[in-house]
Amino acid sequence: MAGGMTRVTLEGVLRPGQAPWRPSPDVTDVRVLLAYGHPRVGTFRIGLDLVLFATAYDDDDDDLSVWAYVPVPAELEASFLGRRFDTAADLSQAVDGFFVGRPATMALANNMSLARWSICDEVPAGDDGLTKAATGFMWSVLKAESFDHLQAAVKLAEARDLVNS
Amino acid sequence: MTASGEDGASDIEGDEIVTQQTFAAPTYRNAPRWEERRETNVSVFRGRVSTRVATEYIRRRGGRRELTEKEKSRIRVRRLSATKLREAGIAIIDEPGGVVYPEHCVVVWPADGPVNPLWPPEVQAAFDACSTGVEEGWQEE
Repeated sequence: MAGGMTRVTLEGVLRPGQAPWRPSPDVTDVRVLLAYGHPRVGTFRIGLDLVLFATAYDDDDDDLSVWAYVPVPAELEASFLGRRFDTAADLSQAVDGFFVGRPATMALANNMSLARWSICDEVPAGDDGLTKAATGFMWSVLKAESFDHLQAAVKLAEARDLVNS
Repeated sequence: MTASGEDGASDIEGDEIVTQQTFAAPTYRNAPRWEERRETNVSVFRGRVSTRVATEYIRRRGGRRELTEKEKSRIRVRRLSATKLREAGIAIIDEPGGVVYPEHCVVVWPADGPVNPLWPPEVQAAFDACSTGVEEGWQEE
């Protein structure tokens, strides 16, 4: 575990409908490291704990976006707080690299409103580790959605049988 | 929230140029996307920033796929006059975040008072009219 915060605590922090860069009313001290139109990379605090957030997938033409959150241990806060990077690529390398090998909370937002989230046990290694984590998360969302739809269909069928019987 | 002074940010002063990028040339964004993406401002870069540098900043993710030739053909930047923006009642706030270059700024309206993300058509037209007419397309390294 990378941070002092437990996985359950961070997962329990997110609230549906919140903006991904302010995922709970309890969030404080939001600091944006990279923005374009809206914040894309930054930090916030939950109580005393620092959390790093970043877009794992965000396309201007897509309503859906995927966000990643990871606690930052107190001894590593200087890696991001008050830090300036020469280029966006340098920042991305540092941020994406920080996620690698750590458990992260992955969240799906629709029109910048948080909708679903779950834990990625360990963000895969490599420059595209966060992208891989986002892909895995989206597959799990699709499966869950399919299961929900299947359950709804079964309930509907059962209801019709009841009506018809 | 007001247009100036938040988090120590300062307006861009003097006759500076700012750069706006688009993925959908010849169309540029002329207002925040509040309803679709909760955006309260329009992002630009301070100074004359190249199409490639602006685009790499926006795309951020190093592991993402390469741009297609068709996509590149629709990527462009234009230059906007800071003087004209101020004259139109629109403010440019320096918000570089954690990146030194390109220097990110936000364009907000109105310049004097609480920021309103819902720009009326006349404000959108005024913003569009702040273009210097100078554009630059994608250039390979």
